[in-house]
Amino acid sequence: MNVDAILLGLEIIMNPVSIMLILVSVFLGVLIGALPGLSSTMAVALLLPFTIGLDPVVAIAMMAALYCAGTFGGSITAILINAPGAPPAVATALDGYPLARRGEAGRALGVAAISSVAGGILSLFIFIVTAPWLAAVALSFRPQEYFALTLFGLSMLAAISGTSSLRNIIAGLFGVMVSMVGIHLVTGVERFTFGTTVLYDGIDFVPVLIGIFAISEMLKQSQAGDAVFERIRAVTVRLPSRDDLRQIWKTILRSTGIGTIIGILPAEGTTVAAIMGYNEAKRWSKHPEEFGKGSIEGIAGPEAANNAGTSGAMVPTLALGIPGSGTTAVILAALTMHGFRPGPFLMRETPEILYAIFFAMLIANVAFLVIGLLGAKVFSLVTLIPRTFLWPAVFCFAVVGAFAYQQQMFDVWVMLIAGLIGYFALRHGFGPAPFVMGLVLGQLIETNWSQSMIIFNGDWTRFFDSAVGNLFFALTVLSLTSPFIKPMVTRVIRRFRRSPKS
Amino acid sequence: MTKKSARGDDAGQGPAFSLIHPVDLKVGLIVLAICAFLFWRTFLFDNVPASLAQNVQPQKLPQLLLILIIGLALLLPFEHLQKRQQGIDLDSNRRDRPQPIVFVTGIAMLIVVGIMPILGTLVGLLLAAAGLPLLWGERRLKLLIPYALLFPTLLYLLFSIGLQVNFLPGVVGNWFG
Repeated sequence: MNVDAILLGLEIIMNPVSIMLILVSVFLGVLIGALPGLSSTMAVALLLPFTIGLDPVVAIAMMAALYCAGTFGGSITAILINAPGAPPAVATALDGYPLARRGEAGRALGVAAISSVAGGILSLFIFIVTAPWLAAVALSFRPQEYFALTLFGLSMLAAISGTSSLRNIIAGLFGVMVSMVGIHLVTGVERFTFGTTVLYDGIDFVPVLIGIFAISEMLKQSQAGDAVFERIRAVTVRLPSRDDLRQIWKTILRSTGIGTIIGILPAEGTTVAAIMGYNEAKRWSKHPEEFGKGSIEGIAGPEAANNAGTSGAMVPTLALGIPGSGTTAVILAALTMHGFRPGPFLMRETPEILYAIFFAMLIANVAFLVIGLLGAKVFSLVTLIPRTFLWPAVFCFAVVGAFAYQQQMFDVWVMLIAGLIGYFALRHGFGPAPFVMGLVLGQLIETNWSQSMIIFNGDWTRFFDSAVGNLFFALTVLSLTSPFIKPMVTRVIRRFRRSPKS
Repeated sequence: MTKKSARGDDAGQGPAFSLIHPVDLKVGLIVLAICAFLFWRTFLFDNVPASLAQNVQPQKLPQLLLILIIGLALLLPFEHLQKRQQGIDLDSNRRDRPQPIVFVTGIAMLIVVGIMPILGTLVGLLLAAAGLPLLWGERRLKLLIPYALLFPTLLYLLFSIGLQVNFLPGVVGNWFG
């Protein structure tokens, strides 16, 4: 254990300015997480340009804190008005809102908060142990093994939530294509620049991220209409009683494990973690019939899992440079923007960033417990902001943020075009998260592929010389084919189970 | 009587007896057209001698990726058959055509960004903050006017003073540059 790095990380975070910035991020995260339609991914993308002038480690720590808090923020509106502010909170609404309608909104919020904090903090300790170990293993990887690993990361796009794995993969591959615009690093040849100098340096991911998440959502919201929510008015927030804790502690532990593992898997995010946390909580519960009617285990399961997923997702992001979720893809982009080299070299060159993020997320978890519980009713009122004011404000933020990044109008145009294309692509099932993953992973894939081809003297068959590489290739094939094979296997198993009976 | 969608199908049902999904056929053709165009562009990349390229010609990986995308895009029109078996409706997000407000909003955003170099960033933001709510039906002028004046101005100040960003001066000039 690198004690110097731990102390340096602590020193970076434990000063009044850093703590204040983290608390501001937590507040914004809970606020934005509470708002249906605005996601923590969008918030982190919009925050990116604001962090240009900040200390890089503090900037990343702020984004990590916002990520944690945003995941929790969604549960407030999920419980109080049955409108999950963030996708991971969908599972929380299933039992949170019915419990609130029974007059126990305070209890529901208390259970959600404690489960979230417990899941987040426990998984942080797993993160702090796993990330350096994974980075140390990855340091021994050769370029062909890293190429196979990033290919596996890209293949996991097939399993990102959405209606179609096929469209996820196509979107991801288009993301990789966009990352290839500009000067080819090995030969210096211009690719897809169409004779313009503005594209020499490629298409920067910051304005694309802002456009894809903020502008396309704004276009979707333009036709949404103002939603009327039935609000739970009487809310006296209270922490869970001893009986409640006795009932949910096993669920919290189990869901923390599930959320952390799902978060560590490339491209899987907190939404998948929350849904699996809910399903497993129901499966293991002594009273599964109560789920959907206000079971506190139905709240504890997804909340612990989704917040554990945030720490889990940071593991491959920092250790391997492969995003664990859509939001960490944005954080990965931020690391690059601030001059870091995500991946195993990050742990070697700037290990203090790992511990700074650990302490920032620890502070964030405790802070959103306090902020979220004390301000739950106020945060739910934020949904009263008319969309006619909210979304033009988001547009102004997006324009200013995209311009501020490199102070050029080209980035604003990129943002706008990405948003317009993103809206129509989303309508046809091509999600933003896979595209962003491809955009962020594209350079890593090409760099490792190029290095391998140079070493192999053009003999591509030598990609299969490595056992580790072959393992990742096999996992890639498995993850690409599982959406098609799984239904067939399920049908065969069902037929087999039916035939002995007949 | 069941509600008809914009495509003429009954709502909740895709094109039941068609092997090829008509909308996904168009989507697939658009993807193929983009790929074909980009593939053609790869032949226009400068040629690099083999010794300099070191077995990594600049068009190789893009061409491989495009071939992969083309192969996947060919499956798009048939995907609905597999999804129907799984009970997934691929048309849930696109059954209804986008309302005109979507296109109006998009055009308004393009206009605002287009005139920013002439009028300046601040004026562009003021126009956006006033115009977009009005487009979306906001008529409470007592709320709209202070919002449209204050919010963009505060945002402008935050970035120009706080983050030292030099915005486009336009007609009003750069107050804080």
